[in-house]
Amino acid sequence: MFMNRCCFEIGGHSLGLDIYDDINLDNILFNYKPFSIVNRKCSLRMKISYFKNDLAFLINESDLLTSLSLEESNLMIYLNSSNEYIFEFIVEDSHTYLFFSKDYKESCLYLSKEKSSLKHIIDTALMMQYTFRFSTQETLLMHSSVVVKDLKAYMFLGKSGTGKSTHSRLWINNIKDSFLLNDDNPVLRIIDDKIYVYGSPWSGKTDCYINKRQELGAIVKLSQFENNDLSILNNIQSYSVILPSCSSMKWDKNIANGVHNTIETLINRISIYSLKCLPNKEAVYCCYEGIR
Amino acid sequence: MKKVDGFVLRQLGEEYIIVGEGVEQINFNKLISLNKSAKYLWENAEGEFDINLLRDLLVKKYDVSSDLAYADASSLVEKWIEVGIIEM
Repeated sequence: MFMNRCCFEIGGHSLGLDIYDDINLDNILFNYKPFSIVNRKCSLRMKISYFKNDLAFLINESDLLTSLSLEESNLMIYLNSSNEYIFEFIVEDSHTYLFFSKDYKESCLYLSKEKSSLKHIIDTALMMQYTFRFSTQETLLMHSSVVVKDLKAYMFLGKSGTGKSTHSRLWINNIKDSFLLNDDNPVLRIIDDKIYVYGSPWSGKTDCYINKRQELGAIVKLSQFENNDLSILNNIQSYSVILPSCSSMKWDKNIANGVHNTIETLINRISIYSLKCLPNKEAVYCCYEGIR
Repeated sequence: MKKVDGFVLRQLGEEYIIVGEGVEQINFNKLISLNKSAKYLWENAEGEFDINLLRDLLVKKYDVSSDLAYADASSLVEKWIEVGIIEM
Protein backbone atom coordinates (compact mmCIF):
# COMPACT_ATOMS: atom_id res chain seq x y z
CA MET A 1 0.00 0.00 0.00
CA PHE A 2 1.32 3.47 -0.85
CA MET A 3 2.33 5.40 2.21
CA ASN A 4 3.74 8.87 2.63
CA ARG A 5 6.07 9.22 5.60
CA CYS A 6 7.21 12.46 7.20
CA CYS A 7 9.23 13.08 10.34
CA PHE A 8 9.52 16.07 12.63
CA GLU A 9 11.48 17.08 15.68
CA ILE A 10 9.47 19.09 18.19
CA GLY A 11 10.88 20.03 21.57
CA GLY A 12 13.80 17.73 20.87
CA HIS A 13 11.50 14.68 20.51
CA SER A 14 11.01 12.94 17.16
CA LEU A 15 7.54 12.41 15.66
CA GLY A 16 6.68 10.40 12.58
CA LEU A 17 3.53 10.57 10.47
CA ASP A 18 2.62 7.72 8.13
CA ILE A 19 -0.08 8.88 5.76
CA TYR A 20 -2.05 6.23 3.85
CA ASP A 21 -4.90 6.15 1.31
CA ASP A 22 -3.42 8.94 -0.86
CA ILE A 23 -4.59 11.49 1.67
CA ASN A 24 -3.00 14.82 0.80
CA LEU A 25 -2.15 16.88 3.86
CA ASP A 26 0.36 19.23 2.25
CA ASN A 27 -1.85 22.27 2.76
CA ILE A 28 -2.67 21.22 6.30
CA LEU A 29 0.75 20.43 7.70
CA PHE A 30 2.35 23.76 6.73
CA ASN A 31 2.98 24.64 10.39
CA TYR A 32 5.12 21.48 10.76
CA LYS A 33 7.47 22.37 7.86
CA PRO A 34 10.09 24.20 9.97
CA PHE A 35 10.29 21.08 12.18
CA SER A 36 10.96 18.58 9.35
CA ILE A 37 13.82 16.14 9.75
CA VAL A 38 15.02 13.33 7.51
CA ASN A 39 13.02 10.14 7.91
CA ARG A 40 14.15 7.92 10.74
CA LYS A 41 12.82 5.83 13.58
CA CYS A 42 10.77 8.17 15.74
CA SER A 43 9.85 8.02 19.43
CA LEU A 44 6.23 8.85 18.55
CA ARG A 45 4.36 7.62 15.48
CA MET A 46 0.90 8.35 14.10
CA LYS A 47 -0.71 6.52 11.20
CA ILE A 48 -3.34 8.48 9.31
CA SER A 49 -5.87 6.73 7.06
CA TYR A 50 -9.57 6.68 6.28
CA PHE A 51 -11.97 5.02 8.70
CA LYS A 52 -13.14 1.60 7.60
CA ASN A 53 -16.47 0.26 8.73
CA ASP A 54 -14.96 -2.99 9.93
CA LEU A 55 -13.32 -1.01 12.77
CA ALA A 56 -16.67 0.03 14.22
CA PHE A 57 -16.89 -3.01 16.50
CA LEU A 58 -13.75 -1.82 18.34
CA ILE A 59 -15.61 1.28 19.46
CA ASN A 60 -18.81 -0.60 20.25
CA GLU A 61 -16.84 -2.90 22.54
CA SER A 62 -15.25 -0.03 24.47
CA ASP A 63 -16.59 1.86 27.47
CA LEU A 64 -17.34 5.56 27.20
CA LEU A 65 -15.30 7.23 29.94
CA THR A 66 -16.17 10.87 29.49
CA SER A 67 -16.87 13.56 26.91
CA LEU A 68 -15.46 17.06 26.50
CA SER A 69 -16.04 20.02 24.27
CA LEU A 70 -13.04 21.39 22.42
CA GLU A 71 -12.79 24.56 20.34
CA GLU A 72 -14.12 23.14 17.09
CA SER A 73 -15.24 19.63 18.04
CA ASN A 74 -16.72 17.41 20.70
CA LEU A 75 -14.51 14.69 22.07
CA MET A 76 -15.69 11.32 23.36
CA ILE A 77 -13.13 9.28 25.28
CA TYR A 78 -13.42 5.47 25.35
CA LEU A 79 -11.36 2.82 27.10
CA ASN A 80 -11.19 -0.66 25.56
CA SER A 81 -10.78 -3.97 27.39
CA SER A 82 -6.97 -3.80 27.03
CA ASN A 83 -6.94 -0.39 28.75
CA GLU A 84 -6.13 1.50 25.58
CA TYR A 85 -7.75 4.83 24.85
CA ILE A 86 -9.89 5.58 21.81
CA PHE A 87 -10.77 9.23 21.19
CA GLU A 88 -13.66 10.18 18.92
CA PHE A 89 -13.73 13.72 17.52
CA ILE A 90 -17.18 14.80 16.37
CA VAL A 91 -17.70 17.81 14.11
CA GLU A 92 -21.30 17.98 12.90
CA ASP A 93 -21.80 14.63 11.10
CA SER A 94 -18.14 13.83 10.74
CA HIS A 95 -16.48 11.36 13.13
CA THR A 96 -12.72 10.92 13.44
CA TYR A 97 -11.20 8.20 15.60
CA LEU A 98 -7.85 8.21 17.33
CA PHE A 99 -6.60 4.87 18.70
CA PHE A 100 -3.67 4.99 21.11
CA SER A 101 -1.30 2.19 22.04
CA LYS A 102 -0.94 1.73 25.79
CA ASP A 103 2.41 3.54 25.97
CA TYR A 104 1.20 6.30 23.57
CA LYS A 105 4.17 5.61 21.28
CA GLU A 106 1.83 4.61 18.45
CA SER A 107 -1.52 5.92 17.35
CA CYS A 108 -3.87 5.51 14.41
CA LEU A 109 -5.98 8.44 13.29
CA TYR A 110 -8.95 7.36 11.18
CA LEU A 111 -10.43 10.24 9.20
CA SER A 112 -13.93 10.46 7.84
CA LYS A 113 -14.38 11.34 4.16
CA GLU A 114 -16.06 14.65 5.10
CA LYS A 115 -12.80 15.99 6.55
CA SER A 116 -14.56 18.72 8.56
CA SER A 117 -12.13 20.73 10.68
CA LEU A 118 -9.32 18.46 9.52
CA LYS A 119 -6.52 20.80 10.55
CA HIS A 120 -7.96 21.30 14.03
CA ILE A 121 -8.29 17.52 14.47
CA ILE A 122 -4.78 16.64 13.27
CA ASP A 123 -3.18 19.37 15.37
CA THR A 124 -5.22 18.42 18.44
CA ALA A 125 -4.56 14.70 18.00
CA LEU A 126 -0.81 15.24 17.65
CA MET A 127 -0.67 17.59 20.63
CA MET A 128 -2.54 15.05 22.72
CA GLN A 129 -0.31 12.16 21.77
CA TYR A 130 2.76 14.35 22.27
CA THR A 131 1.79 15.35 25.78
CA PHE A 132 0.71 11.82 26.82
CA ARG A 133 3.84 10.25 25.34
CA PHE A 134 6.38 12.68 26.73
CA SER A 135 4.83 13.79 30.04
CA THR A 136 6.89 11.14 31.79
CA GLN A 137 10.06 12.63 30.29
CA GLU A 138 10.02 16.04 31.95
CA THR A 139 8.22 17.58 28.99
CA LEU A 140 5.14 19.79 29.18
CA LEU A 141 2.97 21.44 26.56
CA MET A 142 1.91 24.66 28.21
CA HIS A 143 -0.94 26.88 27.08
CA SER A 144 0.94 30.18 26.96
CA SER A 145 2.51 32.90 24.88
CA VAL A 146 6.31 33.20 24.93
CA VAL A 147 8.65 36.07 24.15
CA VAL A 148 12.43 36.04 24.10
CA LYS A 149 14.67 38.87 25.26
CA ASP A 150 18.44 38.67 25.81
CA LEU A 151 18.47 34.88 25.30
CA LYS A 152 15.83 34.26 27.98
CA ALA A 153 12.30 33.02 27.34
CA TYR A 154 9.46 34.63 29.28
CA MET A 155 6.27 32.64 29.39
CA PHE A 156 2.86 34.29 29.87
CA LEU A 157 0.02 32.17 31.22
CA GLY A 158 -3.63 33.00 31.72
CA LYS A 159 -7.14 31.92 30.92
CA SER A 160 -8.29 32.24 27.31
CA GLY A 161 -9.18 35.85 26.60
CA THR A 162 -6.94 37.31 29.33
CA GLY A 163 -4.64 38.95 26.82
CA LYS A 164 -1.54 36.71 26.66
CA SER A 165 -1.02 37.41 22.95
CA THR A 166 -1.73 41.10 23.46
CA HIS A 167 0.86 41.29 26.24
CA SER A 168 3.45 39.50 24.07
CA ARG A 169 2.76 41.88 21.19
CA LEU A 170 3.28 44.82 23.55
CA TRP A 171 6.68 43.39 24.52
CA ILE A 172 7.75 43.05 20.90
CA ASN A 173 6.65 46.62 20.14
CA ASN A 174 8.22 48.18 23.23
CA ILE A 175 11.19 46.08 24.32
CA LYS A 176 14.12 46.34 21.93
CA ASP A 177 15.32 43.06 20.38
CA SER A 178 12.54 40.96 21.83
CA PHE A 179 10.70 38.46 19.64
CA LEU A 180 7.78 36.03 19.80
CA LEU A 181 8.77 32.35 20.17
CA ASN A 182 5.26 30.86 20.29
CA ASP A 183 1.77 32.21 20.87
CA ASP A 184 -0.27 29.24 22.14
CA ASN A 185 1.38 25.92 22.99
CA PRO A 186 5.16 25.92 23.36
CA VAL A 187 7.04 22.93 24.77
CA LEU A 188 8.79 23.22 28.12
CA ARG A 189 11.53 20.72 28.97
CA ILE A 190 13.83 20.09 31.88
CA ILE A 191 17.16 18.77 30.61
CA ASP A 192 19.75 18.16 33.32
CA ASP A 193 20.08 21.43 35.22
CA LYS A 194 18.50 23.59 32.51
CA ILE A 195 14.92 24.47 31.67
CA TYR A 196 14.17 25.17 28.01
CA VAL A 197 11.19 26.52 26.12
CA TYR A 198 10.85 25.36 22.50
CA GLY A 199 8.80 26.89 19.74
CA SER A 200 6.30 24.41 18.26
CA PRO A 201 3.92 23.99 15.29
CA TRP A 202 1.07 24.78 17.67
CA SER A 203 0.78 28.55 17.91
CA GLY A 204 -2.95 29.24 17.91
CA LYS A 205 -4.14 31.96 15.58
CA THR A 206 -0.64 33.43 15.12
CA ASP A 207 1.60 32.10 12.34
CA CYS A 208 4.67 31.65 14.50
CA TYR A 209 6.28 28.26 13.95
CA ILE A 210 9.81 28.72 15.19
CA ASN A 211 12.12 25.75 15.52
CA LYS A 212 14.30 27.16 18.26
CA ARG A 213 14.78 26.75 21.99
CA GLN A 214 15.66 29.25 24.64
CA GLU A 215 16.37 28.96 28.35
CA LEU A 216 13.40 29.87 30.51
CA GLY A 217 13.75 33.15 32.39
CA ALA A 218 10.46 33.41 34.25
CA ILE A 219 6.79 32.49 34.10
CA VAL A 220 4.16 35.19 34.53
CA LYS A 221 0.46 34.57 35.15
CA LEU A 222 -1.57 37.40 33.63
CA SER A 223 -4.93 38.68 34.78
CA GLN A 224 -6.82 41.82 33.82
CA PHE A 225 -6.85 44.65 36.34
CA GLU A 226 -7.40 48.40 36.61
CA ASN A 227 -3.68 49.11 37.05
CA ASN A 228 -0.37 47.25 36.73
CA ASP A 229 0.94 45.23 39.64
CA LEU A 230 3.61 42.50 39.67
CA SER A 231 4.05 40.10 42.59
CA ILE A 232 5.99 36.89 43.14
CA LEU A 233 4.02 33.72 43.92
CA ASN A 234 4.72 31.13 46.61
CA ASN A 235 5.00 27.41 45.82
CA ILE A 236 1.34 26.54 46.16
CA GLN A 237 0.21 29.61 44.21
CA SER A 238 2.78 28.74 41.53
CA TYR A 239 1.53 25.17 41.31
CA SER A 240 -2.05 26.36 41.03
CA VAL A 241 -1.28 28.64 38.09
CA ILE A 242 0.92 26.16 36.22
CA LEU A 243 -1.17 22.99 36.59
CA PRO A 244 -4.23 24.27 34.65
CA SER A 245 -1.96 25.53 31.85
CA CYS A 246 -0.51 22.08 31.19
CA SER A 247 -2.13 19.73 28.69
CA SER A 248 -2.61 16.35 30.29
CA MET A 249 -4.94 13.43 30.86
CA LYS A 250 -4.96 13.79 34.60
CA TRP A 251 -6.80 10.55 35.43
CA ASP A 252 -3.97 8.51 33.89
CA LYS A 253 -1.66 7.96 36.88
CA ASN A 254 1.61 7.89 34.91
CA ILE A 255 0.78 11.08 33.05
CA ALA A 256 -0.42 12.87 36.21
CA ASN A 257 2.73 11.81 38.09
CA GLY A 258 4.92 12.99 35.23
CA VAL A 259 3.22 16.37 35.06
CA HIS A 260 3.35 16.77 38.85
CA ASN A 261 7.07 15.94 39.06
CA THR A 262 7.95 18.32 36.24
CA ILE A 263 5.95 21.17 37.78
CA GLU A 264 7.56 20.53 41.17
CA THR A 265 11.06 20.78 39.68
CA LEU A 266 10.04 23.82 37.68
CA ILE A 267 8.77 25.82 40.64
CA ASN A 268 11.84 24.95 42.69
CA ARG A 269 14.09 26.47 40.04
CA ILE A 270 12.15 29.27 38.37
CA SER A 271 10.39 32.33 39.75
CA ILE A 272 6.69 32.44 38.99
CA TYR A 273 4.96 35.82 39.05
CA SER A 274 1.47 37.21 38.90
CA LEU A 275 0.96 40.31 36.78
CA LYS A 276 -2.34 42.08 37.18
CA CYS A 277 -2.36 44.44 34.25
CA LEU A 278 -3.88 46.73 31.70
CA PRO A 279 -3.19 46.14 27.99
CA ASN A 280 -0.62 48.94 27.78
CA LYS A 281 3.13 49.44 27.48
CA GLU A 282 3.42 50.45 31.13
CA ALA A 283 2.36 46.86 31.97
CA VAL A 284 5.29 45.60 29.89
CA TYR A 285 7.80 47.87 31.64
CA CYS A 286 6.38 46.91 35.04
CA CYS A 287 6.77 43.24 34.11
CA TYR A 288 10.17 43.45 32.41
CA GLU A 289 11.76 45.52 35.19
CA GLY A 290 10.43 43.14 37.83
CA ILE A 291 11.39 39.81 36.29
CA ARG A 292 14.64 40.43 34.36
CA MET B 1 -19.38 11.04 55.40
CA LYS B 2 -16.76 9.97 52.88
CA LYS B 3 -14.18 11.35 50.47
CA VAL B 4 -15.44 12.25 47.01
CA ASP B 5 -13.87 10.06 44.30
CA GLY B 6 -11.06 11.41 42.17
CA PHE B 7 -9.07 13.47 44.66
CA VAL B 8 -5.37 12.81 45.18
CA LEU B 9 -3.00 14.02 47.89
CA ARG B 10 0.24 15.44 46.51
CA GLN B 11 3.37 16.63 48.26
CA LEU B 12 4.95 19.87 47.12
CA GLY B 13 8.23 20.37 48.96
CA GLU B 14 7.22 20.61 52.59
CA GLU B 15 3.59 21.29 51.76
CA TYR B 16 0.59 19.16 50.91
CA ILE B 17 -2.19 19.74 48.41
CA ILE B 18 -5.28 17.92 47.20
CA VAL B 19 -5.80 17.90 43.45
CA GLY B 20 -8.80 16.61 41.46
CA GLU B 21 -7.10 14.06 39.22
CA GLY B 22 -9.80 11.43 38.74
CA VAL B 23 -12.01 11.27 35.68
CA GLU B 24 -14.87 12.20 38.05
CA GLN B 25 -13.13 15.55 38.65
CA ILE B 26 -12.51 16.46 35.04
CA ASN B 27 -14.01 19.93 35.59
CA PHE B 28 -12.57 20.49 39.06
CA ASN B 29 -9.82 23.06 38.76
CA LYS B 30 -9.26 24.16 42.34
CA LEU B 31 -6.40 23.12 44.53
CA ILE B 32 -6.73 22.64 48.28
CA SER B 33 -3.71 23.13 50.49
CA LEU B 34 -3.47 21.14 53.71
CA ASN B 35 -1.42 21.78 56.82
CA LYS B 36 0.28 18.84 58.57
CA SER B 37 -2.65 17.90 60.80
CA ALA B 38 -5.21 18.20 57.99
CA LYS B 39 -2.97 15.99 55.82
CA TYR B 40 -2.80 13.45 58.68
CA LEU B 41 -6.59 13.40 58.94
CA TRP B 42 -7.09 13.11 55.17
CA GLU B 43 -4.70 10.15 54.98
CA ASN B 44 -6.36 8.34 57.89
CA ALA B 45 -10.00 8.97 57.07
CA GLU B 46 -10.68 5.94 54.89
CA GLY B 47 -14.14 4.86 53.77
CA GLU B 48 -17.07 6.07 55.88
CA PHE B 49 -16.02 8.34 58.73
CA ASP B 50 -17.49 10.95 61.06
CA ILE B 51 -16.30 13.89 63.15
CA ASN B 52 -15.81 11.64 66.17
CA LEU B 53 -13.27 9.56 64.27
CA LEU B 54 -11.35 12.69 63.23
CA ARG B 55 -11.51 13.96 66.84
CA ASP B 56 -10.06 10.65 68.08
CA LEU B 57 -7.30 10.79 65.49
CA LEU B 58 -6.35 14.30 66.62
CA VAL B 59 -6.42 13.38 70.32
CA LYS B 60 -4.29 10.31 69.64
CA LYS B 61 -1.59 12.24 67.78
CA TYR B 62 -1.61 15.71 69.30
CA ASP B 63 -1.74 16.92 72.85
CA VAL B 64 -5.23 18.46 72.66
CA SER B 65 -8.43 18.15 74.65
CA SER B 66 -11.29 16.17 73.18
CA ASP B 67 -13.49 19.29 73.01
CA LEU B 68 -10.91 21.34 71.12
CA ALA B 69 -10.18 18.43 68.77
CA TYR B 70 -13.90 18.07 68.07
CA ALA B 71 -14.22 21.78 67.31
CA ASP B 72 -11.18 21.72 64.98
CA ALA B 73 -12.41 18.60 63.20
CA SER B 74 -15.89 20.14 62.76
CA SER B 75 -14.58 23.30 61.17
CA LEU B 76 -12.28 21.30 58.88
CA VAL B 77 -15.16 19.07 57.78
CA GLU B 78 -17.25 22.16 57.08
CA LYS B 79 -14.50 23.54 54.81
CA TRP B 80 -13.97 20.21 53.04
CA ILE B 81 -17.69 19.85 52.35
CA GLU B 82 -17.80 23.41 51.05
CA VAL B 83 -14.97 22.83 48.55
CA GLY B 84 -16.47 19.46 47.62
CA ILE B 85 -13.75 16.97 48.56
CA ILE B 86 -15.95 15.13 51.06
CA GLU B 87 -19.68 14.43 50.99
CA MET B 88 -22.33 13.33 53.50
